[in-house]
Amino acid sequence: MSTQVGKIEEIIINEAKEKAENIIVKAREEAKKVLGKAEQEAKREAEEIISKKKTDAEAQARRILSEAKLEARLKILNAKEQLISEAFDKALEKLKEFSQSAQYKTALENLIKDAAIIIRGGDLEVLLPENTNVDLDLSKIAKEVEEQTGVKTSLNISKERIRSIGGVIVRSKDRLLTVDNTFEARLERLREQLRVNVANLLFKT
Amino acid sequence: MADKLLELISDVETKANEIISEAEKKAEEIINQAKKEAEKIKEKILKDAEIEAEKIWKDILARAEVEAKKIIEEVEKDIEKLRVEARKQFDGAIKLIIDTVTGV
Repeated sequence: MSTQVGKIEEIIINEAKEKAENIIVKAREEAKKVLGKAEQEAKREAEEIISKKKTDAEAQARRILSEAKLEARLKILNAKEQLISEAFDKALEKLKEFSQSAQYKTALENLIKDAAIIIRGGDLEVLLPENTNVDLDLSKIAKEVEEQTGVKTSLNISKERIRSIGGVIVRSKDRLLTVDNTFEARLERLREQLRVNVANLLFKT
Repeated sequence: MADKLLELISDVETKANEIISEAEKKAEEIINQAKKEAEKIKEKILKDAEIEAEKIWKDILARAEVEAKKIIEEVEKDIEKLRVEARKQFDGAIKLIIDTVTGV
């Protein structure tokens, strides 16, 4: 009898042990799955973090390069502008010297004639810069203006003097019409046109 | 006699249930431990990814900065050449301005 009871006890305990073993095995398998899933998810998330950061960095790098290229273009433009300005500054200095040269008389006569034709002749006053010491043939110029405009023209040097490095202001006696042909005024008027030509000369490739 | 047997079997079943209960408790601990470890693994992987991402960011930007610096250095050289070449043409440019302004 006690042997039979012992066997039943053994069977029940063994079954329980087997069941317990299965529970542990299943738990270990579940634990393995938990770890595997977590690792897989983390790796995917990590790839996303790296990929996003790389994309952001590449965009930022493109911005840095674009800015550098823009800065480079601006530097070239500024350098060209400086060189053009330098040429104009030097030309202005040379224009001061020009008003002391032998060619100045011819230039002044041409500028007077040009201004008088623009006004379409008539009784005109010629305003010269201070310290102008040029012997002008105004009657000859007046005649040439008459030929061009068909209007009787007289030219007289005004007592009024102007502050200028060279050139002339011509105005009608009634002061209704004035043409400023001083070097400064002409330089200003012609600057844009000259800028293009000067740039072409300086930066010809 | 039968009562005695039933009592014995009942004791054994109680013992068997304790064995199973103990295993279930241990299984729960295994899974909980695994979840904790999973969290740690995840944290480490993400932390490593952040470090790697930061390195990639720095490397890409450093390369871009070097390239940008090179662009500026190149343009500075180009500007120097441009100045030298342009100044060779200054006399012509000044003459053009003077001729145009004076009408000579």
